[in-house]
Amino acid sequence: MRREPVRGRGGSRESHDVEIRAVTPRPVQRAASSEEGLVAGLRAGDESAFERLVRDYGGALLGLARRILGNEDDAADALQEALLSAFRKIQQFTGESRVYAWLHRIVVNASLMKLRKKRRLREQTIESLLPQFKADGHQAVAPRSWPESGEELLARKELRQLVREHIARLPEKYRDVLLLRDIAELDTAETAGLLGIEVATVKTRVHRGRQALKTLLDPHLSGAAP
Amino acid sequence: MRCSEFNDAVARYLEGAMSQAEKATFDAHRSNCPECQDHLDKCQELTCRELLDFLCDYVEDDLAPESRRIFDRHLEICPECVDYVDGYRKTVALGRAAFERDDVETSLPKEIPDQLVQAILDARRAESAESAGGPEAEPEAEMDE
Repeated sequence: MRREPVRGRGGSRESHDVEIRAVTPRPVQRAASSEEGLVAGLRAGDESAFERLVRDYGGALLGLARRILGNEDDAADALQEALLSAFRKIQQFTGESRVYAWLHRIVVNASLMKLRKKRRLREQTIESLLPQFKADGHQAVAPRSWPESGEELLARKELRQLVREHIARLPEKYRDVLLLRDIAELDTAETAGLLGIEVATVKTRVHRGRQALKTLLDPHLSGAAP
Repeated sequence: MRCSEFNDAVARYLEGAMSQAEKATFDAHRSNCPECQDHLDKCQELTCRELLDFLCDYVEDDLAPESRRIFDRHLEICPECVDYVDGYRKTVALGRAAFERDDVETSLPKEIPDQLVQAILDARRAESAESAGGPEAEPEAEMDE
């Protein structure tokens, strides 16, 4: 176990050391060659490439972490943990042109883990969050309707924190796929490539992740509108 | 087309994998054969469980047209599944929105503070020295604590 990073603010890095493999490059990608150079430098262990990574992507990623965690210190810790984790895992990253999507997921995961710890949120098992069925194929418990329209829900900014906290409670393999497919908006094949899993597995996990998130949101959004 | 051939072709029909000519033959047979039409109707019945299994493909428009019609027919008669599909779509939208930039953030600087860059680089060097088995790197600066 490595000691705490120099900033030493007590962050944990255990949960977001995720497997990262190949990713399919997009056909049109600006500055792809510059990203290739960056990745090559990182893979060679070049400290100046790491500094470039921090300076080029750090601002946007810090904003992302800040959005999830709500304060500067926690966001800075999460970013540091995430970027060090990314550097350790760079040998497994073979896609040249999706550096931001790759970093995005690592930062979101690091931030969500910190949020979960801070709020003492327990991870849920996926089985407890999926719909149950009777022998005749009907749902054991009738789903509750969400009376507010999609537009009304999206206009309620305070729901964003609630949704993030519930995403943080999903088991990691479902959370990972949900973050890439629905949040970073990678397609199924890109997500499969990045995580080194089958396309069919991505589809199953994203579906279960959404179902589980829906179950977690149900008590807040079904029944009478606020 | 014989009834046995019709039976064998049902799966291809449901997958939307038939050519126009094949489909025309298939449709002509079922319009004249109540037993085969009945068999097809039974194959096209969907339980709530099956609907939920394919919901991801449905909302992402990845279903073959005939499968989509079967799906829609189930939704016409099952208000519970309508509620579920609605909540599922809203969940996807809320998940996306949860990580979007907000108004507060757009007013904040987009650059990473230099102090934080230095702290991260220091941490990286310390980690590198440690993994190389060398002496512990001394922190060059204690940051904001």
